[in-house]
Amino acid sequence: MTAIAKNGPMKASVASLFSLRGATGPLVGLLLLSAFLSFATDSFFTSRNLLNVLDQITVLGIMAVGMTFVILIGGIDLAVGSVLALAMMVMGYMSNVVGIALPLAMVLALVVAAFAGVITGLLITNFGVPAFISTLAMMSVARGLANMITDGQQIVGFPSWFNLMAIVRHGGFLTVTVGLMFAVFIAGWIFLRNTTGGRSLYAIGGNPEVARLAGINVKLMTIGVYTMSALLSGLAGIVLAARLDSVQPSSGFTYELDTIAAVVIGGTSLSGGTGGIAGTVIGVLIIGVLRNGLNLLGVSPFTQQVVIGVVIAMAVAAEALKKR
Amino acid sequence: MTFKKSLLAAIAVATTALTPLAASAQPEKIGLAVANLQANFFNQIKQSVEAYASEKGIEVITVDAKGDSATQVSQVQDLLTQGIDALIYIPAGAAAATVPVRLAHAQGIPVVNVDRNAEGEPGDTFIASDSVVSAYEICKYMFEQAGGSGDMVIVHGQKGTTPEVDRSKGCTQAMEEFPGIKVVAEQFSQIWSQDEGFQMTQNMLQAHPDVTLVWGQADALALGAAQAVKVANLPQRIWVFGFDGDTAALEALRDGVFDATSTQRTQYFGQLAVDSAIKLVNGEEVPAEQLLPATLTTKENVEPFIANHP
Amino acid sequence: MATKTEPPILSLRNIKKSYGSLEILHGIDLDIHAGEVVALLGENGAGKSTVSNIICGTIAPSSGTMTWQGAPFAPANPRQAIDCGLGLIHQELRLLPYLSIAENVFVGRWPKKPGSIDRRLMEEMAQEQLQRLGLDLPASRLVEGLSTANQQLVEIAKALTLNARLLILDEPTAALGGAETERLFEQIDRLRADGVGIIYISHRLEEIRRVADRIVVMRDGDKVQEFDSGDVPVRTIVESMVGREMGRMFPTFPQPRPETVLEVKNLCSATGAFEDVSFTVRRGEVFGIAGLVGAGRTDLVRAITGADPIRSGSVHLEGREITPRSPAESIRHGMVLVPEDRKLQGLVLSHSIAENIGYANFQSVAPKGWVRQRNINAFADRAIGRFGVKGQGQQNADEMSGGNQQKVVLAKWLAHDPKVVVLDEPTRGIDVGARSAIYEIIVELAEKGVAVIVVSSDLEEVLGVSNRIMVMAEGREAGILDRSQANDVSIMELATS
Repeated sequence: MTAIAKNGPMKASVASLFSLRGATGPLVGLLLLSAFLSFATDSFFTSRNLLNVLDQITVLGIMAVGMTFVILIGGIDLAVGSVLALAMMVMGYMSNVVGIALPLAMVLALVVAAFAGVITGLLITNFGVPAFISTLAMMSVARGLANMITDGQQIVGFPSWFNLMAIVRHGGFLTVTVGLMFAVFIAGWIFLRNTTGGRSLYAIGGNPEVARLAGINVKLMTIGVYTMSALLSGLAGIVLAARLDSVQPSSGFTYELDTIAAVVIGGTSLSGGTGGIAGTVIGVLIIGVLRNGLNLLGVSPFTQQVVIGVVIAMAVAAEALKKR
Repeated sequence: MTFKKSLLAAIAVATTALTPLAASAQPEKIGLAVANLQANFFNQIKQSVEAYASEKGIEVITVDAKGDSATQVSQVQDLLTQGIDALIYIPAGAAAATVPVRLAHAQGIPVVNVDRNAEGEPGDTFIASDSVVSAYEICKYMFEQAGGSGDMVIVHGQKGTTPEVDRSKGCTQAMEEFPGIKVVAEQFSQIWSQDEGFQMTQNMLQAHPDVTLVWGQADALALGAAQAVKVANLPQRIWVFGFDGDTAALEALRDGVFDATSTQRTQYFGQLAVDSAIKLVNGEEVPAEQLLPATLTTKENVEPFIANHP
Repeated sequence: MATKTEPPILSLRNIKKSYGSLEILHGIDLDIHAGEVVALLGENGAGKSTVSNIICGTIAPSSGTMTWQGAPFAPANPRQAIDCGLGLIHQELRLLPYLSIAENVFVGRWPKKPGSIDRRLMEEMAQEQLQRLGLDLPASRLVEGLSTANQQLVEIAKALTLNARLLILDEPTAALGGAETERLFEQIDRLRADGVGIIYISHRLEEIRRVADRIVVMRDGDKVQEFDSGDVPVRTIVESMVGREMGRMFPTFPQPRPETVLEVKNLCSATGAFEDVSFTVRRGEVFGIAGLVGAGRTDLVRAITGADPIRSGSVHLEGREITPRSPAESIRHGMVLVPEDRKLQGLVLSHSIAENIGYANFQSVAPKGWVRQRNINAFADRAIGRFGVKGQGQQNADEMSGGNQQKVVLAKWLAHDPKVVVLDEPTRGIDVGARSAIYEIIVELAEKGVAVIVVSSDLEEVLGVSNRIMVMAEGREAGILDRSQANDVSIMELATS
């Protein structure tokens, strides 16, 4: 009994220190995976490769923060990949066809993305369309609009500083896009941990009726969450455009599935109410390191798909088993 | 044995050391970035590159972008990390993303573009079929077969990609010679897949039941289109033709599933790509564009290609 | 009642249960005969549920033996127990909302005709059972949207159709009003006459006299007393349960002050659940709302506090019209609802107590929207201490007993000193000790001048705590009685008017 009493608060305080909320399993997985790759390949554990991995996860990482909020309240957002493409195309069209300044075009792209999120949110809260369906609808609409802007064509020819944001490593390691991703991670983490808004998401995910009766404005928060998810998808679209130095309406195809996988691997429950950004960061890193590592190992592309599927299943099953 | 090996190694080191500028410096590792291995055409090239390189004793690392250019950028980064000596690059997505070529060039790694070239940042050499000429030939042949006039529908490839643009261009040239041919409907595929070809053709036939010519700009699209024609069960003879000469399509051609294709020399593409990479690594001159004609293939001349793909 | 000379259908001998080194059941002996109702009583945590779970095969005993109809009995899982002729009605409702009532009643053992389910037979059989329980609903209706009471009746119908030789009823009347309870008892009488043995678990001690043939009282994992008759004074039973002599069941309530806090004017429900209700509540007054199940009591208090929409009417607080449109608005004005169902409306069960308390008190723990875990923990610890919750802030809500959960729910809404508190069924399904504690809390609120509204299906409770009682019947306000005029009879007359 004394042992339990002593252990209880200790465990809790250690957990809250890192705020992993059930992501310790994935963290161990990530460390094992990294250790294995460091021994199995010469090139994995080099600063250059690790920086490459950071570059490679920027888009996924930024979208996963929004998706974490959505999944925390027990929702799902299938539209992120399409909204990403829409934002990209709006930005490209505004800057290279209409001819306004690129920074202003970025802002417009974000506004359009956020607007898409507001629509999805309103569909869910005010019209009672389930999140799965309303975001599925938005997925289709946003993809169609993205294609309509240029009739399916890509747009190239951005100012050189734009691509350099994703290439030049300030201080030897930090590209603007990676820095942006870190900023989004930190902001998301603080929001969930230290604001009433963030805490409310946990309550809504735990039980929306309990949250409503406790005086939380569930409708407004829900709209806000889908808006934020769409806004971050738009931001990810801008980052992707910088990385590719071009925009095309077919971008972000099936990214929603990668994003959901990263969030779920990171220990956020699809039924809502538990999880957090720290876990999501680990989930994103697992996917990034795994893809990178499999390429470095020279694993054939078809085998890679099998391995990634197995890892997703194992990560979630391990967490579920641990809880039991 | 060991002695022999080390002796050989010593000689090898000595020769390289003595002749640093000599042409014998063979690349050890080549990266192959493929747009999408689901497409038979790319898979053929991949197999050819891997087989030919292994003959030459060169290691090939293959990555598949599954049609996503962002994935491809990451993959090329990873290839460069592994110290490849040359990159064979089949760009994913509409027209090519320039970034992979730029990344490779930044590290002094030569790039061989296959099938699609990167606007603004072209590869050191570009290997492709002369799509414009080949498309002109096959369209002209089919128009003649169909009696020089009739309604036509086209299932295009992914809009804006080099093959789509060039094939459309070649066929348009043929059409100028045949004023009786009228394109009544055309649609654009996203991923060059058979089910897209089936659905799009079905829709177009629904709207235009008098069509006599159906062109899928790739064999997968054409096979889908042929199935849609079969299902529609229309009274008139409908001519269906494709492009690429995929292995499965050639067999279908033999069995009379559709009428003609233009066989690209995928095996040779792969060999040429590896040879070009070796030359580039050795600092030899390689032409900026290496365009190969594709062969108009019908039921009559398909047999040898099935036995031995060019 | 069957003669005791026949061998019992179920015997438990020296049943023990331990978790690790902690023994929670210390050698229980229990006999159940055919055709008798044995009331199993005790406070929460006394071991009643452990015993019923062992009998039903949900958990295995650490030692001891069971005999079922003369043969050794050790069910490995609930399925085996059911196959042997045992039935259990859970305290928690476990119905499938998107299936019909009939399908729920016969779930897993649907009557079949060759190749498919015999839907007509199933619905006929279910309908017959519903009628016996006085549930006037078509058996083909979906369970979704049924009131808690009706769901409970469906659950009971399900158990009654099992044709079990032994039924365990765990708090079957927790959500039922007087008329429904009486119907249930009639069914129990019928089963008893058919020779079914029944174990009856309830916190409503007044019912025991009506229904039980014998009483077994448990405390802290021991069987402490057996009464060979159901006709035992409630006071005696309670003393046996808590192990000490009880004073009064209800504390003394202070006199309300003259000034009116809450005024409800001509309130009409948007769904038609109640019409044209008006009343006032004064400072320090406890205002009871009584009525049968379905009379619209819960709908009324939810509408007053903004949880449900209204069609017309208004709510005034201290003379100012506020008529809240959401719970958030109501709380901002200092009017809180402690909802009926603590598991579905009161608590996020998978979250800690501290977080649960925090959710309703952001303006106290995070006045500028900036949350610190430390502040939440400290605030929760204070609330836990103030309301006598047995547990720690880090504990998850689902790890606690019902009584403690209810205290957490109270702590959650009362921690920031509201002006009006609405308690909907505040003591449902919780033990005597926790009940008294909750009555003390109500007294404390009244003494501080808070206007308290108590909705309860427990007549004795309404009579015991209220200064005035409003009785509702079929969505109407049937009358308001002063404490001095009110008794069971006057309330029931109004409720059935």
